[in-house]
Amino acid sequence: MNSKPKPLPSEHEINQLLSRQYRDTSPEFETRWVNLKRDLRQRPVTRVRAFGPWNIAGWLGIIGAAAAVVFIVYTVRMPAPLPETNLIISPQLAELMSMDEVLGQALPLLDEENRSALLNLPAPH
Amino acid sequence: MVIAISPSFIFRFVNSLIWRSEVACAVNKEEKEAGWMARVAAGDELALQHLFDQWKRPLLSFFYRSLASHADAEDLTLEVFVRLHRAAPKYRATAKFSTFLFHIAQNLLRNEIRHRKRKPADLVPPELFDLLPQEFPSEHRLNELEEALQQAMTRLPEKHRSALLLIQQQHMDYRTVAATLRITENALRVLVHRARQMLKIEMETAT
Repeated sequence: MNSKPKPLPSEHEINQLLSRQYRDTSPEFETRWVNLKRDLRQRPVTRVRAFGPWNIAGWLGIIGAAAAVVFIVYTVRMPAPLPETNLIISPQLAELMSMDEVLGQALPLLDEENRSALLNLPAPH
Repeated sequence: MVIAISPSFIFRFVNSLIWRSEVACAVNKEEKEAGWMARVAAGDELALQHLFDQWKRPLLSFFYRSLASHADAEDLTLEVFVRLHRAAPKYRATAKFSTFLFHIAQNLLRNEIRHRKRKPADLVPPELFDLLPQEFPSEHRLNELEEALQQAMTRLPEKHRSALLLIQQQHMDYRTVAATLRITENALRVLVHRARQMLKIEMETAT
């Protein structure tokens, strides 16, 4: 047996339902409000000032922390990896490395004129 | 000497008087609200109580329709007053007080929706709402529609629901609601129109 279809809500009914509000609040809610109001009374309203005494301490803390971070970033370096002593390289490369170690510390001796003269020396046969 | 006054002139004159008195009332009310806030900032507890008494039911109703949870509605309503108390020294009456208040409510609501896990509905009996016996043929019909409406409301997107509630439940004007939701009046009109369509469809499927 089919039940009778329920009538759809009319525009007017929807409007009436939407405009409904709580008739009253619960006693528990009012008790919570009284307690909250007491807490708020103990916490007096203060105007938040960006440069008040507490905020200046805060700002100094932030600036100090930022300076510390910058200091750490610019001073701490990762140590260079130590050369591996048991590294196997060819004798020619070892000689080249040793020459580079010696010559790398030398000051440039040749001025521009001598360098060009040396570059134009005839190659040995 | 006889001065002929046309009926249309009288009509316009009376209308302008009504408009002026309405504007004056609105301005006066806003000034009063700003005064209450100044008193709250000065630590006047009675002023805070006055604002609570005036706005608790609208806020509870707004949150309840938005979240379908009586307990959450109470929590958020109390939180609004904590924020109100905190913001009192900075309050400037640049807009309507209701805009300021429901902007706080809207922010709290969004946070709650963002953070809340799926909670079971905590519906209140319809008797807690204003009853309109002459509008409904029976209590049974009222209860049926109330539940269907609440379920449909929870399925609406948050911005649609808030727009609809501020207009139809809180009876705020379009300009104020647009300022509260930070959208244009035209966008608000579209939002409300769509919200009503969606609500009706949801209710029809529910019933």
